[in-house]
Amino acid sequence: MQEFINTLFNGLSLSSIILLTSIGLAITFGVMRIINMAHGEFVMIGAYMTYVMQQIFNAFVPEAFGDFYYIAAIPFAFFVTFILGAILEKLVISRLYGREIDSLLATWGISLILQQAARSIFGAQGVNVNAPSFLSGGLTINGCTFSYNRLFIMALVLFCLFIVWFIMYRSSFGCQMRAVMQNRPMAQCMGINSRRVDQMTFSIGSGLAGVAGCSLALLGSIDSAVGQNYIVNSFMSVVLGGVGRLTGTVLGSTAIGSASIFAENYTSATIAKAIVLFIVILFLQKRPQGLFTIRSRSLDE
Amino acid sequence: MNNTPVLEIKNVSVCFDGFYALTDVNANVKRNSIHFFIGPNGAGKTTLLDIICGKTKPTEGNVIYNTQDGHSVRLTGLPEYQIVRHGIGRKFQVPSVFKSLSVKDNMLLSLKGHKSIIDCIFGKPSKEEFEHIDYVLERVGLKERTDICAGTLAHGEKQWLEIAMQLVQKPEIIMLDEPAAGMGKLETFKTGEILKDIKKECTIIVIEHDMDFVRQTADIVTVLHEGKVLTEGLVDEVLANETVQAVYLGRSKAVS
Amino acid sequence: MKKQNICFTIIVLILAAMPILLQLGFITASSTVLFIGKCIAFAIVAMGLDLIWGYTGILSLGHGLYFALGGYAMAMYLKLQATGGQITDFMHIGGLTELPMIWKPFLNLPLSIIMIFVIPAIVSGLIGYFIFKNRVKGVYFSIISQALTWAAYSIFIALSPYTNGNVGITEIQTIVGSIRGDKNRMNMFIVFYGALIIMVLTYALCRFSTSTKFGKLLIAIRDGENRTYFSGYQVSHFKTFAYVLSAVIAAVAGAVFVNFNGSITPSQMTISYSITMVIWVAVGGRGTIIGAIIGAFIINLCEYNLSSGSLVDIWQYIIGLIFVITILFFKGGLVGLVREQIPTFISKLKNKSHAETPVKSKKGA
Repeated sequence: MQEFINTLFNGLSLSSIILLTSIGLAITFGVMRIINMAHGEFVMIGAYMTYVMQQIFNAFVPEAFGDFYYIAAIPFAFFVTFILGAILEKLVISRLYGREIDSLLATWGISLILQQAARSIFGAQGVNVNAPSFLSGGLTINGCTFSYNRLFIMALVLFCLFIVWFIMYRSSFGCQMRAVMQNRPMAQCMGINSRRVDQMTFSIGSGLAGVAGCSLALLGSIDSAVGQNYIVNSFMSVVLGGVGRLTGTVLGSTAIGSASIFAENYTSATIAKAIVLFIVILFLQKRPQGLFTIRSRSLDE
Repeated sequence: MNNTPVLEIKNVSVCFDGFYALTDVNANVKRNSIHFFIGPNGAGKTTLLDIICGKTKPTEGNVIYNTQDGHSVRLTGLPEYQIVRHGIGRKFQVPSVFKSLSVKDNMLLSLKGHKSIIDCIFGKPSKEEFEHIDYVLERVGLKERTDICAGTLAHGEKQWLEIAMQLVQKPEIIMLDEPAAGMGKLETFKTGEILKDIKKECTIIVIEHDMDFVRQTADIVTVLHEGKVLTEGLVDEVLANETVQAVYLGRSKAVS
Repeated sequence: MKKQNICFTIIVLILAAMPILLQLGFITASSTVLFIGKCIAFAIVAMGLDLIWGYTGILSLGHGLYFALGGYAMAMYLKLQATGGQITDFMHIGGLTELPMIWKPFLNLPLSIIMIFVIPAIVSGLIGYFIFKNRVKGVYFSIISQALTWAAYSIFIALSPYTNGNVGITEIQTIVGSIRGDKNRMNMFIVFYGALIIMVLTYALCRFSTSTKFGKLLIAIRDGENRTYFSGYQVSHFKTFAYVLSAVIAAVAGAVFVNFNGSITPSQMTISYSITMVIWVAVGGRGTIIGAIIGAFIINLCEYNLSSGSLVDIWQYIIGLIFVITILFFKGGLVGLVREQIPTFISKLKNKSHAETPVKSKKGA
């Protein structure tokens, strides 16, 4: 029982991390049909921004407030990746609408550049952040330990989900966003500035990647490939969840996260990867377009 | 020539996430006739064609196809390429031709038979087949444009090419989804004459809104409304029907 | 079309001259020739990738897997040649006492060569069949192929008693024995010309298959997959066939590569290595076989010359930029640039000068 709860907790923890990295992907892919291969690098940038914030606090802020660097790092990471996302959208993505596969390739070129930039600035060696003291240790109930930093990440995910849900379904901007997602030309005819919607969507998606980076910084050392470790899983959960619905992404990441941890429990981590992949492919046999889809009448989209 | 209907649509219903696009549709299509499905937008015409050609699976009901020599084939559940190989071709509403291939290559790919991988790699079309392609292209008036890339054709010409691609397969049934859309009066009339000409060889099912075109060519008209069959009959009967006028023609008259 | 063949002939002649230039002393380092040998392997895999991406429109981000499968098959044979059929060191360390079953076929050359074809064909056939059957396409396929490669990569590392994990299979010679050093120069030439012949054969195969109705159908699938179904073709079989064909070509390339590289590691089956192959095709010009070859040579030669010493950091920026710019502005790659963009640019310039004269005369009037 104890073991089961621990496994469940680990599964939920991994799911939440995957979810955090895939929300941004899901909205950029859903709204703009852009596969952002550089998303993993935005996660990496977010993680490095946490490190930068820590260095700034170490240098300028009295030690008593040192722990608050992490609280400051989250909005900071969001802000930096948000701006970078806006720049990327302006320079590259805006020329790629309607070319899904090309968008994938071009953003991969961007990710090469960003990775090298990270190596040039921060060095090839990984850097570490010290988890703030209020997140060290854990909650012990009946012999099961729930570490605070993982609980914190889960809370962060719920918070981000709520914000995204609010923006998408309860704000007028979200309404425009969904309109563009479902029928771009029609939305333009209704006077929606779809360029602006795209720009905002991409920036928000990138910003969320930055926040995901903050949470990764708690879990291990940061190097230029840190985003890559999670990005494949994130892509899979977006595919599994289907395009355009937040619920799909949540279910997709939960399924992949829990499945990997449970499979890992009984076999090894590598076999678990293969098993999860196999399940996804099997699933796509039944629903080639993912869990949730929007039906369409046209022949070739 | 036998008198069994070439296509029997039996109790077909389609449900999209709780919305019934078609409810209990029954219709028979007579051999060598031009059969029109008309109806206001959202009546389920395109969905019906989707079901016949296998693009959509019906929630309930069957579509039965009776061949020349008296066999019956249940089309429901067959994959679309099998249905095409049985001789049922379809032209889509939005012209869909292979844009980066020449007109001739488009036609070559559409020829009847030779559809396996081995045939495609090692097979060569025979002289008769080339002649047949020339003949069909002549008929639709694309003879001079054989080597042009299909993507550069004008909209109307793409429509013609797609019809030609259906014809070159020597089909039993051709389904045309709004063949006259985007065409001028003269071109529409010409299309009608071609349809009348080819109905000697096959059966034609058409969806169209242009009433002049319907009057010019139709043998039998089925009116769909909100997913149900409203009425079926000869052109004049149907167009004189008061319910039909109320749901459909009333509006179209007001427009014209 | 003929221009392509002429261009290809020129490339082959230049390549064929390389060993002669080395012998005459114009090229000093024999490693240069070995490197060009590797480029030949890259050109072969690029042709395979072009078949599936440029022609059929299916972007595989996992061709590194097939490249590595072919490479491993070759390397396993060569390793057993080196050990004389005995079990290898890494198997000892991994706790194995006798040669594992999966290594046994590689004791003999004909069987190994068959394996180079059969293993990737089976793997790609199964993957292709199940994925294409349900019309998973576009980016969905790309993402799945990427994940597959990732899973295969971790499996290869996990099975280290059989594959030597991260290190890969090293310390191997070529199919005709050692090619290092001056006294083995004849061997090197044999391997080099052998690779060149394989490249010519692959080119002929690709040109033949794309010139037939099959090739037209691949383009038709790229343009409108559903339309192809409604023309009566079992599209998923065609896609699977094209995928298997390109996977086998990639595997052959991998086998050639091992002969020049002297080792094979799992890094050859990573996602980034697979996408690097896509870069070659994109830069050279997708949808033309010659473009794939040119791209593979140009990118690799640039990398060879630039990525040494202090330039190694800059190279990553350059390749990233080249890729982004190619995708954004030169969709047809170098071939497209020469074939379409430059001619239209020139004719535009001409038109401009033509257009300007009447305007001026009007003003004058």
